[in-house]
Amino acid sequence: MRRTASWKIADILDFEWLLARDRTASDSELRARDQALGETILRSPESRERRPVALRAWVESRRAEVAASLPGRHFTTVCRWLLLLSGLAGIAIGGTLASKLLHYQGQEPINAYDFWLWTLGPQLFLLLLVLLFWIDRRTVHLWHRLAGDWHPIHELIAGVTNLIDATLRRFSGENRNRLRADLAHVIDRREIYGGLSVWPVLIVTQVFAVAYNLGILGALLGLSAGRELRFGWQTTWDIPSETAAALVQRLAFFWQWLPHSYPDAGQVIATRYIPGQPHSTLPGGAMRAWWPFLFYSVAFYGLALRGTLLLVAVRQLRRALDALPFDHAEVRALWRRMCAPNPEASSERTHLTVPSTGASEPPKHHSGSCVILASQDLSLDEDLLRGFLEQALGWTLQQVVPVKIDQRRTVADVLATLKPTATEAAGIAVVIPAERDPIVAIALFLKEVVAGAGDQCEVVLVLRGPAAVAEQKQMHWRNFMAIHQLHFDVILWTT
Amino acid sequence: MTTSIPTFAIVGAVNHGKSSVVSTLAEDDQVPIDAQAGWTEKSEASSLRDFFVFYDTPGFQNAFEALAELKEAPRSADHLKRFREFIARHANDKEFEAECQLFAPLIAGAGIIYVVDGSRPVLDINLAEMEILRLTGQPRLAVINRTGSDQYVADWKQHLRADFNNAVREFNAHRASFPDRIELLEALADTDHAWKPALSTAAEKVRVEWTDRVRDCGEIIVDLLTTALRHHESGLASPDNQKLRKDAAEKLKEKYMLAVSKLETTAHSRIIALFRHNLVKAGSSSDPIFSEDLFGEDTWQIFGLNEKQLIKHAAVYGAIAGASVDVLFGLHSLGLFALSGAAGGAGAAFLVGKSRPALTVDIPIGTGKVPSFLKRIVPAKIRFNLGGSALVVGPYRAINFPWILLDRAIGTFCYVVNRAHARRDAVTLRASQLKRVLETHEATSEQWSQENREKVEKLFAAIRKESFSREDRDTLRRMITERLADLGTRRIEFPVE
Repeated sequence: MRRTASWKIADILDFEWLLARDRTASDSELRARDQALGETILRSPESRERRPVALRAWVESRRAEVAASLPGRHFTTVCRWLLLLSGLAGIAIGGTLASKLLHYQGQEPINAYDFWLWTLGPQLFLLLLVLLFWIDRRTVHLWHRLAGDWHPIHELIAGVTNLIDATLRRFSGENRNRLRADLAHVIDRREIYGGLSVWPVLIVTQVFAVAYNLGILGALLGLSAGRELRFGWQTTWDIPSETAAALVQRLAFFWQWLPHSYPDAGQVIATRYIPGQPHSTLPGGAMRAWWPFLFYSVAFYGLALRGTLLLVAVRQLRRALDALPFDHAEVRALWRRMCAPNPEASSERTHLTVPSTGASEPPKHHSGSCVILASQDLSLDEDLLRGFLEQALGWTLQQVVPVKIDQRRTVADVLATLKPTATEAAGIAVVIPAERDPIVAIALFLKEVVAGAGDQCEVVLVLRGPAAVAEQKQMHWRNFMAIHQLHFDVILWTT
Repeated sequence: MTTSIPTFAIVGAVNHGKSSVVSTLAEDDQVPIDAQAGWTEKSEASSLRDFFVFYDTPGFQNAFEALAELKEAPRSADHLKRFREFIARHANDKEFEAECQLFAPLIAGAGIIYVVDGSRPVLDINLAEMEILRLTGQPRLAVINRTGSDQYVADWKQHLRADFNNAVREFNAHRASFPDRIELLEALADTDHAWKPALSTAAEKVRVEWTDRVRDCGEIIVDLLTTALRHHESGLASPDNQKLRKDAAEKLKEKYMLAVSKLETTAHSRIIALFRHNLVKAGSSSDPIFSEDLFGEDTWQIFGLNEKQLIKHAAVYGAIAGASVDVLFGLHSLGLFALSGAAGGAGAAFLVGKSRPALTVDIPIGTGKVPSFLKRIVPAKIRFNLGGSALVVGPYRAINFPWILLDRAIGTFCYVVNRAHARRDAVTLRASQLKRVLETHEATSEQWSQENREKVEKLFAAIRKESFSREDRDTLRRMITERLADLGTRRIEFPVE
């Protein structure tokens, strides 16, 4: 398969921004626009088969139409600057630190132990700590046993949440629910795209780390070109020189096949000095033998390790982007609009039909039969309902089941009786009177429906009633659905 | 009842108008009300003075499941035990957050006012709500809030009667006047035999307190009349420079009108505050209650006495003035001056009609406008000494002035006592609208009985002549208070623009 342009985080940001912008537009406008875009985009076989490809094309088309400056562009600019600054800061800090450590203190030789510990110690300690936490979370949960229920990060989040809640109470009902819904949208997006957020942070930090190690290596190379670097070692720890020599040999395990890879035992023992001892009293050859060891140490334990982490982060980001399902409510609604038959294109026909050209034929997942769960306090004309479903959703009516919309315990029985039908259905439309107010009991009912319907079956909420009431309530319901993490669309069927 | 002040929780389905009912019953227009369903999230108390406490609660969100769980609980002599256990079980449960909030005042001993919207159909979930409330065993009253059409009122009544032992009342939270409110409060007393004495006493206190407020309102109006009818503004301007003098006189007139208008605004604001309205504004603030100011032409055309009454009053004043001249002539003039005065007064009133008479600028001592021939005879220095430099505007002697003040004050009273505290709109009344409403309820000055009107006119004259005694003041206040008390018992609807 030909590799098409992949999604980037900037594309995701633009995509969500464009979807958010569409929330205030009328359904008819959106349908007309996206049908037209869909006809063009879905001509490509790849777009028809792979929703992400088609949606990416949609983003490109919309970007061209929207005059506003989109957030993706700003994000890209900020990222570029961050990477550049991280790289520069890394080189500067690494180079400065190394230069400082390679500076002679009086007559003493340069302490190789200090150099190794200061340049690589913090990096390795941090990585070890992260690794230990990672292993702990997946195995023995030692942290949880020690700290009990105390989760400082959770506490912090709870505090912020309470603050937001207190602020929200100051707003009027409509504003408050709108803000809550927006907040819920962000939380929704975190659930959908949350996996992406860690990788850019990791990339930026690893770029810094790579540059930091390059700075150290650069300083090592640069300073050694100008003067002779004489290394010895000493420590306040009571370590026998033989043990230190063995440790050096073990540390050099990865590059021991390289020439002059580490000072041998005799050189290590010979270069141990006491504070204040001048380097002139130590053997010159042994002192020079430390330089390659330190260089390789930084190259392997610093540069190579952080470079690998950088590559892993880039690779994981790519994989996370490729794995995005693009199936939350607004995307589904967009996809339905793109794939929906165009009534205007077939205005001369007596019945609305899906255009027969393979080019714009909607995917099987989104067309086909549907089951209607109609609130029992609603009387429905099936012919009208059939027409509405075909026009608005591209669905054919299979069965209408009256339900008690505010009693979730009834859902299991309803779905059980519908099991064969519902499994084959492309979607379930829950129809309720537009006059009904959103309450928790209905949210729980809808959650049961979504859980029972399975991943392949799309669920939509249909508000049936006078246009004025339905339009007024649509936004309330959308906010309500967002607050209750119900990821499906609310559409109007007006009388 | 475990609390000393009668306490009721206002409960019901979401968006059925609970907050509006609380706002109106507690006379508290600061209760948050929103068209958005589920706006109320916590139970908040509002008190009607120290007589009643009303808890505005969140609407039922999950009544079926709450009912199922409450029914499963073992029966106990203590009806509220299962509700206490329910709250303990679901203290941090998002699914029953609203139910826990609305049960909280009930387990503390509050009675129940179940609010339903008569324009909405009765749903199964509402029946579950009613059953939950029945399980509490607490005294309860159902209120059918008539916010829109009456389509489902009969249906609601039929369902409510069984669970509420016929304690069902209709109530429009957005239009309820004082009689509607007191009727509802008195109906609460009938919900439970044990609670009856305390509730009857509380309702009686509300009634007495209302009477006191009406009396206070009468006092405010008398204050306004006495100060406005006596008010005058004075200034200085050289009698030699006519242009400067004219300008100074115009400024003084403006100052006078501004000062009297301010007196009126203050009085209206006191009336508004007396009836606990924060959203109604008087005078020059934004969205004031009256669109026309006190000295506007429309105000004078519409309020006060009618032309016929004005002519009659003017004739009487003219006759009195003429009669005093007849007395001076030892009555040898045979009442000719009295007759001429009456004819002159009536004629002048007829010519001026209901227009606002111009404010005159008086010179306390002196000649006022100096005729040109006098200027030639009398030296300027002497003229200055005679006329002085003082200018005085007011008191305003127009016959209709106190009646207009009275009509507007009564209009303000009628508006605020008939405006339900659940309303959140800002209303500005046009003079013509207010007049129509007042006329419908015979509340205008011109509709007072002739006897009362003449008594009041004499008291106005006494105020103007500075012969207004303590007894006169009491008489005027009593007459105005009686009128206010009568109007306060009527349901007067004001137009909403």
